[in-house]
Amino acid sequence: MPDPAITIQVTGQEAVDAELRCLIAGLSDRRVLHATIATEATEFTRDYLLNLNRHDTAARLGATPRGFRERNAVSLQPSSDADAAHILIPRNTGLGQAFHDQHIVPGTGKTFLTIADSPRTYGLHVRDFPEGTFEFAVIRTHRGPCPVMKFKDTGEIGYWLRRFVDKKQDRTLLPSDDGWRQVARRASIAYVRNVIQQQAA
Amino acid sequence: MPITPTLTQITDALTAAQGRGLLPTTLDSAGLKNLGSEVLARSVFTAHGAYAPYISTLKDVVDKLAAGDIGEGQARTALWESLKAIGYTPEGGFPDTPVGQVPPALQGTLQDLMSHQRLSLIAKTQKDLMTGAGEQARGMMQAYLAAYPAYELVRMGHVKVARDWPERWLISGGKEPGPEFPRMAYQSIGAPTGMIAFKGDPVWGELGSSGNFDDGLDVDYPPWCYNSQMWWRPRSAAYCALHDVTGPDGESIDEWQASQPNVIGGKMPLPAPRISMTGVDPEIMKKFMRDTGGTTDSSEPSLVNYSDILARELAHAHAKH
Repeated sequence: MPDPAITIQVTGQEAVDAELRCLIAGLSDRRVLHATIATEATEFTRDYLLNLNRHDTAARLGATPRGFRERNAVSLQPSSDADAAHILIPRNTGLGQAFHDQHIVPGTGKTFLTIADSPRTYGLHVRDFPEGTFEFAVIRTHRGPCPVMKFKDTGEIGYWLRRFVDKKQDRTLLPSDDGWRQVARRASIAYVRNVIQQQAA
Repeated sequence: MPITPTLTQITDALTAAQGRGLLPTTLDSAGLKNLGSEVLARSVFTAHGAYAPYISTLKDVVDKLAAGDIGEGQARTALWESLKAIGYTPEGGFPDTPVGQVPPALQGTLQDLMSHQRLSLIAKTQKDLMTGAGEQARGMMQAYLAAYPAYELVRMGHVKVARDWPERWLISGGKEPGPEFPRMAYQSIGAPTGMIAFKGDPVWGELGSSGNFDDGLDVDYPPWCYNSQMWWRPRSAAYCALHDVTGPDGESIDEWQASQPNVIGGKMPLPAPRISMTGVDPEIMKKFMRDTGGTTDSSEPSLVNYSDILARELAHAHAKH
């Protein structure tokens, strides 16, 4: 007796094909996908900076934080094309310190950097005070003689004068690579879902 | 696909900053408002800043600030040094300011161009304006418009006393936020506020209109007014659907975008081809024309054609980078 024929019928193939087709269409031009990833990653990084809540220098001096990092948050920009997604970080945000050590020197025509050492001078330049507020002095430190600007009235140090400042790399100034990867993954999933939903609609 | 954080010089803010001409003027803030927002948005100016070399320095500094070459502190220093070199004094103004044109300012006040307050305000406002303009231009690019058709108004920084933004939103014609958004959310940094509108919705322009609010900067992008610390966040179509966001007349996203002529495909939006200068002092108009190279049509002398110049400047800026 011949074996009974068994027929296997695969159903739903058309629906799967349609989903695949629209996915392929949605992924063949990746500009919107990359715009989505760049935007989500930028917003994620902005949130990170807004919530960083690190005011080390202000806390050390007992000064009111100036919100420097908060203000930097809006300077970040998403950028993308068909090949890649980027977060653009302007150099004047100081966030380059997240990627490398920094060697900071005075600008052209200047001899010293002024490093605030008082709650009165934090966030301000020497010229922001009336003329005659400070006097130049050299004080002895454990590293040798060091020029400073002292308040004339109290003798308190207003600024340390330095020819350069070295800052060590601090990766915590920006989200971790893993954090960015997760955002990119979530954004990609949201995009794919959106493509499928649009096709269904 | 990895995300690449890029330390950069070529920013949207720089592109926006470079597309502006100079506008030396003796006018105060109130007088400047009469010039019209289109002129101001495309010019570098400051109230009582009649001295062309200073305005030119201001433009250079803003360009560098927008490019990320210098910080706000360095910008303040550069402007202060420029004013000092020129011989500006708060009492007498610029050396060649006609007597009586600019009232004397008290040293250290906001009217004193050399004061910390004034220089900070200039540096921060100009930087934010250029960033906002750049962000708006990018937001209108096809890919970004498709992914994020709307913005939500959010706080991005602390202020001592927050202005009542939900009230401003309603005055500007925005729709009442849903009950899921606490009314005071606008006071918390980064919190969703429910003040959501499509890109290009007139509410964004009304929010920055000096006709509606005395501190308005006459722009339809952040920061809208002096020291607002408010910004916007791009919102997806799914977010809009969740919170029932529609156009001003109840349009869907597709209907709204189809009705907008300014949707662009990867370039900065060009301005309206002509700017009305009706009612503007002929001397100021002459200066404006001279400094910007604008042209007029003899049949309508109050309309200045400016778009060719801006297009040339933008092309030049793109070519340079």
